[in-house]
Amino acid sequence: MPRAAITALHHCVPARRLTEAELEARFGAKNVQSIAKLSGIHERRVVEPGMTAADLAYVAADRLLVARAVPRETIDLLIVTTQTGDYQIPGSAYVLHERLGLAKNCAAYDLNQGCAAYPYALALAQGLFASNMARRALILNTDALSGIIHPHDRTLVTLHGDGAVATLLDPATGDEGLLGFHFGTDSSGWRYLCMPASGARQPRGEATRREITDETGNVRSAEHFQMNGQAIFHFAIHQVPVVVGEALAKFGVTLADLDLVILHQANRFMIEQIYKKLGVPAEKQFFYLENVGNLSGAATPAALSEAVRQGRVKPGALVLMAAFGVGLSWGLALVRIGPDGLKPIAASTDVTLADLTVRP
Amino acid sequence: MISDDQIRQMVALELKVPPELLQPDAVLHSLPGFDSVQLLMVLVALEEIGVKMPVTEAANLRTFGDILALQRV
Repeated sequence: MPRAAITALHHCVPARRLTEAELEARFGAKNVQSIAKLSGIHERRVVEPGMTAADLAYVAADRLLVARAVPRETIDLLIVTTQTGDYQIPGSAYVLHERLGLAKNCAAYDLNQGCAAYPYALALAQGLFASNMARRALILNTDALSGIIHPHDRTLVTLHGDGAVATLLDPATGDEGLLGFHFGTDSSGWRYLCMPASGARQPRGEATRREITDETGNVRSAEHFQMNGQAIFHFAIHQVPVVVGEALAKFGVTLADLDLVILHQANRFMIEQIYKKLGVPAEKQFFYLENVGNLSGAATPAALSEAVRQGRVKPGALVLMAAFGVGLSWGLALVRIGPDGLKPIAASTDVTLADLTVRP
Repeated sequence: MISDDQIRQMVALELKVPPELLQPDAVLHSLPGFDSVQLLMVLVALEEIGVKMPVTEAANLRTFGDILALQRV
């Protein structure tokens, strides 16, 4: 049965920085420092006006394809995961398919997933590889939540950044590749990561634009992304260790077999708690959020991409990724890196509108 | 099984308030010096001492009484 393998990765974040100093001026130093100490996030990258998540995905993909000299007509599958697409109709995959100059025989579609997006996208691609319906896939994980977070929602503004990652998948030639997946959903919590007036259920109008200040001082409206922080924190530190244990048993591997365990980069304290509960030793941990923020669906692949760039992902490495979030959902993927390793592509960490060589 | 008073002492320590302020009707975010980050520490500490809750209960913790009502193992 054909298996997909990761053969290239490239991540990008916008140049514009939302700094601690700016946030302290907005929310007060004590509040911001308290959150920064917990989250480990000291700077977030956010899109400039006129830039979208699809723009970031375009840069991530285009630069990967150029760096690896990938003939664009060989890509027969494009999956874009985003919650902040250019349009509700059509999906961003079609806009990006055109901008990237992909071929007509390339299947393309969006996956509306949040922070757990990467394993879900990989699994979808693996399924199509296994059934001989795809041979070269481009996965784009991208979100620009800064555009849907209220500027005075302290809980979210301090955490989230914008970013995109491009992943190239090709057929495995040996024992490398996407080895296993584990998914699940606790839908009792879907309300706790939600943008209420964002679809057919709650049409937008005067009522949905009304700003509300909650009991802890966060300002938002129904047209903004909202999070119940205590629910999500509890979900992550309680559920994720459980499902990682389930996944390891399912895959027939132990922590000792793994070279790296990459978790969704939500906030540092949360990640540390999960690592601690699982007993993951320091040399198998990885963090990538301090200067970029929580990149939502792009966070997990960005961490993998950055780990590759830093030389933390050796040839033949066995990597477990555990991503979790909106839904509430979780997705885990076990990946073996090829014997030649992954050649790093320098991350695009200062993307501006000027970098958009092909505009929408 | 852990007692109400043990929970009170633990929560008081995390929220940095005198235990006597933690009456069942005490609204957590109205306590002196309340910081939402401290509440996350409370959630960690509660789990460590065997207090269980589904995500829907964690979402709606508002008073000290809500904490006392959680299932204890």
